[in-house]
Amino acid sequence: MKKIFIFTLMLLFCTAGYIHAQFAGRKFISGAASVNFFNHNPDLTTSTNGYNYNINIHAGKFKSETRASGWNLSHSLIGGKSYMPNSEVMKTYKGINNLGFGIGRFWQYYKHFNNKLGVFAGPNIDLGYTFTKGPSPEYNTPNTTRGHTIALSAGLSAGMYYQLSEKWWITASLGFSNPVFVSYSAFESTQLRTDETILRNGFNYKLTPAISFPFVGLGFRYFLKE
Amino acid sequence: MKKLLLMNLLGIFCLAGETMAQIPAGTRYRAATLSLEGSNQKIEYALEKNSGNSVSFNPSFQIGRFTGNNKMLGLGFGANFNFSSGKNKIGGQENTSRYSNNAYTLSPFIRHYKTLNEKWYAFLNTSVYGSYLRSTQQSYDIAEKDIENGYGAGLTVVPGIAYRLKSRFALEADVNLLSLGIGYSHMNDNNSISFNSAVTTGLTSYFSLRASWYIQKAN
Repeated sequence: MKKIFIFTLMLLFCTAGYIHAQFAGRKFISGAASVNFFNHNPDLTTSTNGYNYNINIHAGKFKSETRASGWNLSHSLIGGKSYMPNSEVMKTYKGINNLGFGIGRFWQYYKHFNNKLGVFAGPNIDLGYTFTKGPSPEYNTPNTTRGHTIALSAGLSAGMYYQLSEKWWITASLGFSNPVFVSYSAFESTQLRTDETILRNGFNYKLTPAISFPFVGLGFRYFLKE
Repeated sequence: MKKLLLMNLLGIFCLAGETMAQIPAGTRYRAATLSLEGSNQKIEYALEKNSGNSVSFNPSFQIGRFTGNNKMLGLGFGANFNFSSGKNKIGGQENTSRYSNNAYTLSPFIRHYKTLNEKWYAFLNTSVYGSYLRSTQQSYDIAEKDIENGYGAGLTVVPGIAYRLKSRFALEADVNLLSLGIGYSHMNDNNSISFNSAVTTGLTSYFSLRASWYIQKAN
């Protein structure tokens, strides 16, 4: 909802605009993080809980007043205590289920509306690796699965910024698209009943020219001393 | 959500106030887009091996001509190709199946434009479509290739936005979220009638993109 509003605002702003402060040559670090916890404690069955976090760091430099480029690093983790699905006996699994790392390049083009506010958009390329471990709902039998996934994606993203001070910006992501996506995954499952091992390899690719609105993600940007 | 978007669209329309530049009658229009998706999977059990492939490929192409200022008549061609195959190996025996599911669509359309400023256009696209559907199935347990033919027809209304990157070249997005459609299809002795607004079909908030050219006659 909010995102649509902001997008419209962006459209409105695109019609007006003038330029101001000096950006060329300045280096910055942007970061966005999300953390989640949950805990279920039902009367009749044992409790489950979970946690996950996601960190995204951009390190970049303004090449000119309206152009910046840099590197993107990301890291995510999912863990907790969960049930083994499809199992007759109540069996729980505890620990880290999912661990991910990513590295990428980004290029951003800016439109500065005034001294405080502006929008940016540009292409990015990301390479990510995810390790998965734990019970899986696949095969309709209780099993534990270990897996590796490598994904390469190229896309466009857009956002807007608000300048809090000389050094600090607050940023919001507005829309994004991942028109090009390729992934390879390899999973190994061990069936608990039969001890059978199942290997699964998958290759997925996609070319979809479309834009979607994500949840608005807020982040901060800090400008380094020259 | 929908209300908000409508309000916003209205807002955008109001922004324009007086239209600045019209798209003159006689301008020719060409547009094309493409999407592709596929997967490849292999599963190895202790005694059994399965592998599967699937590809779907959707090109579309539109031509048109402005019959009046800001009003265009056009024709769209679209195709949907879906191929999949599966292989199952158990013991020494190997079984293969192949499926295809294709649709070819022809859709005349009428499009009304509103020029917001030099760069931004908004439009409302009303089209009727007729499609020919064809599916084939070839598997180890049937002797002959099984072919089914069908057809579909319907009416769709969708608003969109175009952004002019160069004098002739523009990027367009259909705002699928606000589309309305009614359709009928007949396939495999099944008849179906559908009435959709994108909000109810869960078409998501995708804005599908298209590259387009507005070619004005040199005079």
